[in-house]
Amino acid sequence: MSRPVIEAHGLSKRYHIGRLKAHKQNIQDRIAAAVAAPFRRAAGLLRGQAASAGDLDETFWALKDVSFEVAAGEVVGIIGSNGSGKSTLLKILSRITEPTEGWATVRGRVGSLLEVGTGFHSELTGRENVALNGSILGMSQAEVRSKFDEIVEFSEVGQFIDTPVKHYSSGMRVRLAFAVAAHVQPDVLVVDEVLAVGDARFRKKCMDKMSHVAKNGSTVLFVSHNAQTVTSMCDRAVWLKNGQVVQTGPASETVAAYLGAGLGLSAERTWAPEDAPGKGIARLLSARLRTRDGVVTDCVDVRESFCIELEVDVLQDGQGILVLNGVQNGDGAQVFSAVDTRNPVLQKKHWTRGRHLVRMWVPGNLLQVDTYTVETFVAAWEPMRIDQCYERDILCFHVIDAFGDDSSRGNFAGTLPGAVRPLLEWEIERTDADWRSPRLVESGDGPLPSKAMQ
Amino acid sequence: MSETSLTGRTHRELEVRIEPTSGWRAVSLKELWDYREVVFFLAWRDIKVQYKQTIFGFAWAVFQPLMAMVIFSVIFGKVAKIPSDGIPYPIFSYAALVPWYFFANSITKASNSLVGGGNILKQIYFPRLAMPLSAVLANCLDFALAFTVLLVMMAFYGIVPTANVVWLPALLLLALGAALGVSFILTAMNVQFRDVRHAMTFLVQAWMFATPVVYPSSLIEDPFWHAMYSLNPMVGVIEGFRWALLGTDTAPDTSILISVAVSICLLVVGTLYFKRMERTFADVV
Repeated sequence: MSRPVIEAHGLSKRYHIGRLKAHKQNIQDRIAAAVAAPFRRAAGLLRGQAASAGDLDETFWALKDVSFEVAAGEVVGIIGSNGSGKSTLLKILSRITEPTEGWATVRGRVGSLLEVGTGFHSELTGRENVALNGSILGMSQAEVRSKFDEIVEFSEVGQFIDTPVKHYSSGMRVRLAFAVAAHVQPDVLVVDEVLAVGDARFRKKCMDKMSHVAKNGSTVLFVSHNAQTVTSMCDRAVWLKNGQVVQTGPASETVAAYLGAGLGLSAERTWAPEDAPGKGIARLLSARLRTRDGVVTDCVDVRESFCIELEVDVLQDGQGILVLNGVQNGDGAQVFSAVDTRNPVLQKKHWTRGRHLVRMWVPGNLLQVDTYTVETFVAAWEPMRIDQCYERDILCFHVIDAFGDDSSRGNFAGTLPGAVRPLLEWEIERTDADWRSPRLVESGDGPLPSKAMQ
Repeated sequence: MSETSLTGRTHRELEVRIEPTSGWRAVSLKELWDYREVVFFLAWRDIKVQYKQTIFGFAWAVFQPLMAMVIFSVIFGKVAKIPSDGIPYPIFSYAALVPWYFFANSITKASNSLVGGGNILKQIYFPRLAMPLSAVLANCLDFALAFTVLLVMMAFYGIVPTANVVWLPALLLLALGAALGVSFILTAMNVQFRDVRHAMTFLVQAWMFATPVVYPSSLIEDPFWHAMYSLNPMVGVIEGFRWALLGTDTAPDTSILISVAVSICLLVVGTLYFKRMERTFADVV
């Protein structure tokens, strides 16, 4: 039987977000409104609205007409920037909240781990919470008991299992919650971004567990803004933007499209003067990635150095402007942060009014092959710190692999995992006394002399 | 229609349709039954958490009605000399305080169950009715403890329960029904209007004086007003308690039927209202 495990058809969710006309009221209207409010709210209540909904005239569609299907055993990633409706979608699918329009059918038991929290009661111990969550997810207590050791072992909370959850760190809570969700034999495992809380090793463990769950025929729905994870984990991806599906398809294609256009990220970014991030002292006009040859690109050869070029408009004389760039990899980890050491501020000098180009050169053979995003922080630093702007994800670029002697890979074809990809100096030295003996070299049982030794 | 996966079992026969609901909906008793373990678990959780970090622990379940009894005995029994149907005032009031505190604590705790447990509501799905339901059930333990003390007091005063004691379970059911009905209404209202929480103390106090806890219902003699009085289901419960246990001549007459009818109404209306409001809970809490 091949009916999809999840069918969503035209799912929409509307929220009331704020007052529209409040500022137009004069004092008499406000008093009248305040007097009328309880009655209006009561009327709204009788109509089955949220108590405050009557006051909130402006509405917002967190999700609009979202349709997709997921088959059994599929791993589907949901990608999109913050506020694109990913979490709302998961909330609807796990029945926390109702859609405003549309419908969905979910076949089977749903184990979920949502962004909003773990469903734990903080006064109860880990053990009790496992039992509570297990029974909420539809397991009998006998089933919970049979899975209990596995859950505890996976979560690594170990000796703290009989400690109230309120004393747990956020990482421990997430670990335990994931362990419960993944071990209740769900037909659908729904996992939100929460895994970002755990350390990298545990995240890896969770990814493996999710793959394992999928191999056993369960469906995994996985939300992330981490493109890399989605590509490696998922068969398919759904890209959401402003509550709507932009694209559905094979994970790699969808992710590529999302990275390229979805965030508006690219190798170059220019702000219109009225939108330029910044305040009265300095603002950011544009940012781009340039290679050594001056070419603007979003693909950098792993061997090549490149620069992040920022155009800063300084609006006041005599201010000390400080620029700090950060680079994050595809896992969202901060690879490095750097402050402009040539900056006059650090040398107790001040900037003049006008436009400046600030270039940060990143050497070749440093970054691992990955997708990176750039964040920038600009502040007026002297005589006191006044933040001007902090912009995340201003640029996005890929570092691509290369063979060759000048690459750290050389001619090695295997994988080179790691946070960085440095070109290192290697030495090989024979330590037996007669290593210079031509007999040994000729017999070919010694290592080949490397270039460095020649 | 179940598929077999490598784990050997799936629950794909569970098919959940997610769609907007509107208007009045009947409560799905089947779903509630499927989640019975959750209800008991939540009740157990409430019991466990309730007296956590207290010195006296479960003794509070008994202290509460006992202290009230002492105060009422002094003020209403000794000072105001309120009649007590020929029974020593302390046991007269305590026999009423035990079911009363069950009712009062139930509606107080249940009304706060969704707002207080708001986080779990946003994190995981289960029938929301399980929250107030378990809060009321959790009070059954307190009731049992306080009731045991009542039996001890009866032995102390040398009062032997009458044969009418067989009606006690029915009276308890009446109290439970009333407590649940009121709880469902107040719980759902409290999510929307936090006014409920502030009004609770006053409501419970007023309700107590509208119930024959500190005075005998025989004070209300006019048959019409007695019938009106019986609109309060706790009147029937407490009169019945005194009748069954202490042998007062407050035997349930036709007015208990009013109490029963009101309880059933409260339960039905409460459930329907709760279900109607349920869909907004996660967005409002």
